[in-house]
Amino acid sequence: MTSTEIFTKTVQHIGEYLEQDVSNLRPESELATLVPGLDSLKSFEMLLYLEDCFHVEFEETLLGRLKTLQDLIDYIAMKLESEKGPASVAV
Amino acid sequence: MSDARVVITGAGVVSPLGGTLTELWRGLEDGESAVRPLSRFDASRFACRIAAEVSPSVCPPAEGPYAHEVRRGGKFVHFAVAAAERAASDGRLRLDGEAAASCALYLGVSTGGLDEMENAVIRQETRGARKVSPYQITSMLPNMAAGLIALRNDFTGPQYTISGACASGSQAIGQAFHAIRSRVVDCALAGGADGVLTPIAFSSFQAMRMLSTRNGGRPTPRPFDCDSDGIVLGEGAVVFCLEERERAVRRGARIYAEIEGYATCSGGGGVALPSTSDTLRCLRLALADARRDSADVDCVYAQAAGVRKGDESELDALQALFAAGRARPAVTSIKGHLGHTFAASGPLNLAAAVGALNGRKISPTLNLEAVAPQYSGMNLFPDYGAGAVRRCLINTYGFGGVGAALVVAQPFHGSPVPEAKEI
Repeated sequence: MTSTEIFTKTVQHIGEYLEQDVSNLRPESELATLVPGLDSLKSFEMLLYLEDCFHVEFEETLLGRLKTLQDLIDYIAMKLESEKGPASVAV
Repeated sequence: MSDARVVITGAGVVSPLGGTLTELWRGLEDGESAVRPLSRFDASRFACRIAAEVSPSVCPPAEGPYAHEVRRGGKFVHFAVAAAERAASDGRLRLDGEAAASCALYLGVSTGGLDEMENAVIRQETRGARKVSPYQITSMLPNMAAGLIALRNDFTGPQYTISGACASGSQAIGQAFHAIRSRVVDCALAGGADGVLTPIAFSSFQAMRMLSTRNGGRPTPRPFDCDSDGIVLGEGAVVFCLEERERAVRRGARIYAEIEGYATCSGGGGVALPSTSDTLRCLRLALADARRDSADVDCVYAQAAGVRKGDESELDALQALFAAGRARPAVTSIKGHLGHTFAASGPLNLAAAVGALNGRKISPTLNLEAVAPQYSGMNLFPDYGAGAVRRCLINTYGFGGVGAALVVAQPFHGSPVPEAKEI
């Protein structure tokens, strides 16, 4: 899956989770202010939802280390890639 | 300063018989039973496979502020939020801004988010500990219903969640009544909510041998009846606007009824059964709180849920209460219509009583056909004609030996109706 495809799917899944139109999201959108009302609990739950969507498992401390949506896309790409091979790459 | 008089100026209902007072009253009057085969989950592995469910159309998913959090909450949160907001709307009671300074929120909750707790345990054991929802804790905390009512409505006044098992809702209303009567606050939203229709509730009550197992057989539950075989689980919420009477009159509010007395007591015949003497004591204290006598009571809305021992203990207490006078008040139970709704059961009894005090017929005890001979002198099969009910007594009992009783009367009974003015 290409980075662009991951971005498209991630935005789609975020919209599904939040049950709202998030087509305004861009790669440079900051995770902390992704959409109004996205507090910490909702962010954590959204990550669980994305884990299920991409069939990957995120690290517990992930949110504190990522700044933008692109960072998340890159992380998901890395996780998807690591599923294919034995090596695991830290962000 | 003299005690304030306390009236009911609004009501919000989420019940197995509908989502308004009128729908509830109509269902009760018509002898409609909400008890049906359970649809929420596959109950085939349980001895009891029936329940009185709240239809999704009666309580659709929340919209607006904190809708996400409400949806993540247990059923009791959904029901309580809907009932409270319906009550505030019905009573034209503002909860935000300055209005909150003289208002309080009292909510009775028994089991809280038992449904969400069960879901979380299953999720943890099947998918792993880290798959438990970050909303797990907030979904099950008993105070989360009151908390979300406040947050959604920018309410900044005091909020209290009372947990006294099935007496919770009556206790919440009673405590609100006392707070207004003693002029601590001018008004309150008060009621009870529970949503216990979850597999672990069925297995747990089955283990206690408390559930009726007549799945499609003889109509059940059968409060007071010689052939009762247990309770049927129900769910729902009722919240009232309680208000200092003069304030309600000044603002031209519709006044449904006046709450005159309340008592709550400890003591029972074990953790799961009431005792006759403690029930009697609680009822007498409630009447004393109202400065009324048992002869002033026209109708009793009883706790009776279809457990033979418990129902008979309550009848023994009522028989003793009314033995001294010549009055034979009607005694009725609405559990045959609605099942046992736990913390909502007292508030639902109050809602039914408010109907009778406003010209509705006293709802018959559904499925009651024959009582034990020792109760033949009681008015358990009254003439269910409309009107003439001036005062009702409501009895509730909760596990752990928690009794609560309320006295509610026609508004302005015995005193002229003052001129209503808008403010």
